[in-house]
Amino acid sequence: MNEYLLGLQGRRVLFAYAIVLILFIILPALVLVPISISADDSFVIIPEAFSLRWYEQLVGDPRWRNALVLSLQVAAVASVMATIAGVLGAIGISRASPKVAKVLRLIFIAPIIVPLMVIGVGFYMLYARMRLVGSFFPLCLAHAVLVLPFVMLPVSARLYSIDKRLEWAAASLGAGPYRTIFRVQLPLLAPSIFAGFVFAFIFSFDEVVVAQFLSGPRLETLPRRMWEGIQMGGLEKTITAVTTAQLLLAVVAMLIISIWQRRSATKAVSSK
Amino acid sequence: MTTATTSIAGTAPINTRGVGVRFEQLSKRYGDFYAVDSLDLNVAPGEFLSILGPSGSGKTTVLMLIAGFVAPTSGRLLLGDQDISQIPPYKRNIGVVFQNYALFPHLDVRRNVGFPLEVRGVPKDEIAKRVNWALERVHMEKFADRRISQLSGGQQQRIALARAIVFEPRALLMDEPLAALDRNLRQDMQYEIRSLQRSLGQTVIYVTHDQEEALNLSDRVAVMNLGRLQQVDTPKNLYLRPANPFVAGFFGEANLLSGKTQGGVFTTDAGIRLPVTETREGPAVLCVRPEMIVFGDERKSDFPSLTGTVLETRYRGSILHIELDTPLGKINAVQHINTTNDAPAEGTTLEFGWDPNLGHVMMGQV
Repeated sequence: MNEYLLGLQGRRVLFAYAIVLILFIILPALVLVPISISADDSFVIIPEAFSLRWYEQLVGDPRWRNALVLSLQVAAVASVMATIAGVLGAIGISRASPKVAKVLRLIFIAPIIVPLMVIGVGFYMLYARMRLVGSFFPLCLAHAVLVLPFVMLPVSARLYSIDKRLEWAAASLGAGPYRTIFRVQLPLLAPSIFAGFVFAFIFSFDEVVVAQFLSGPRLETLPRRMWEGIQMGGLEKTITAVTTAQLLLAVVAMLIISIWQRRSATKAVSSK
Repeated sequence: MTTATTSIAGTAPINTRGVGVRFEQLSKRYGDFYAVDSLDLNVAPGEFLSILGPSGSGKTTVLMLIAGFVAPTSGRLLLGDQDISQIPPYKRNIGVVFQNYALFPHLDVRRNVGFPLEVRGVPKDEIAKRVNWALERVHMEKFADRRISQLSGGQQQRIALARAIVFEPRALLMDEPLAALDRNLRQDMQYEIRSLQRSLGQTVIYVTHDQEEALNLSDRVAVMNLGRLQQVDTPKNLYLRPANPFVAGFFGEANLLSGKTQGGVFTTDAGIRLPVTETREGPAVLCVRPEMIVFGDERKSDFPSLTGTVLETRYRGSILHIELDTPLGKINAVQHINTTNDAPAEGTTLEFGWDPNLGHVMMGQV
């Protein structure tokens, strides 16, 4: 249909525009990959010799390594908390009356609408009064709130596409409310829960604004370490190793999600 | 068939016997709107009862009330001797078959059918036996290890049926289970559902908007409209003895004449006197089915004698449909076609009448 609407000239322009746009989206992320595996100190995009020394430094240098481990720990705890709360919340909202559901959904999704700076300051004032700034679990809790929407959104979307009558069928067959959740709903939600968990993990792992406010002098997460590194001594090449590793993590996670969702989508669709 | 399945067929003589279902003044109200209004109905153990009505008649709400997916506003619902109106669905022991099958897509056929037994904590080997038994009843024993997505609509409906009978429910509810199937398959499934119900002695409440299906399957049919029960009766009586004009019009065509009846004479609003067998008195509606109308010499002496002009004739398969303009208003008649009869030309004047024993008087106004 596009052929008739646009004509040859139009299609060429559209194609060129699309290519430029796509490059602009992915280049900033990709440009650091070759730099991170080049042997020399300078930032050349096309390296002459390859080496993994920047990755070694990331794991070998205690300050980098501690930041990496801390970030992984915070992301793991925060995304697990957000996943539990988000899945239960999504199921609860799906059972609430439409009016209540509307308000609740807004509240649960607010963390991605409200600016990070505002949330950061808010948590800082709260934690400062409670003397919780610079402690591990309070930081995880704040991150869990931030990443809650990343779990809520895919799980809610999937819940609404699952036929309500599956729940009724389970009940009529003798499964009580808890058993229905564990035997029917959770298995059908699994791909979206995993997707939500991965999004949550990646966002928390990467988050610098709220971490800056709440980590105090003692807790240095990886993004904070990178930020500081850039401010103090300009670009360190270790940063390129960090970003490349993050990129790889994200790509692998997305691949798993898309394969899983495609498989379970064919299952769910054919049952309708 | 493998020897294993044959031997299991012999070892699982499960004698399912349904119990009765009784509605006592059962109502469901949403705001000011009565979805179901003061329903009184008695379903006998082992009976096949259809609930039939147009969309919005409240038939689906009745099903939801029985299954326990919605709670009644007032009234009682008894399953056997037990009042179940406040019992949650998972404790009711009622099998439900849904229009869209509602099979669990993440479980294979065997696990789907075994689900109600698993949640009841039935031992594994017993589950295997009963699942095989149920699959055999619906002729799906060869599909036990398939995924749900590998089955056609008709096969999925059989699995849904097996899943609903495997735990020996006290009653079986079906919500338009055949609506999504094509015509031929639907007729096969009707036959199978009926024979399965008979052999199990299962009480079945079957919700549908398809009159033919309801009449084919049921011992009795409950006709609903606007949240109210209109009539519960055998298929034959619903047709020949409808309780009111809605029921008369719902099953096939009907010529409905309004007027009043007194001493065996029905006087139409226009003042035409017609013989009837009804002995009661008062305002009434006379129902004459199109196929009861006879022409010319076929009339007997006690038949009303009327004349009408042919407005239109149509062939509908084996039936000739004749529309007449008469002093009673428009009258529809049908004749079975044999090789000798031709359609009367439009504008022809015909004498017609009907057997007063077949004309049915419904007391009360339209």
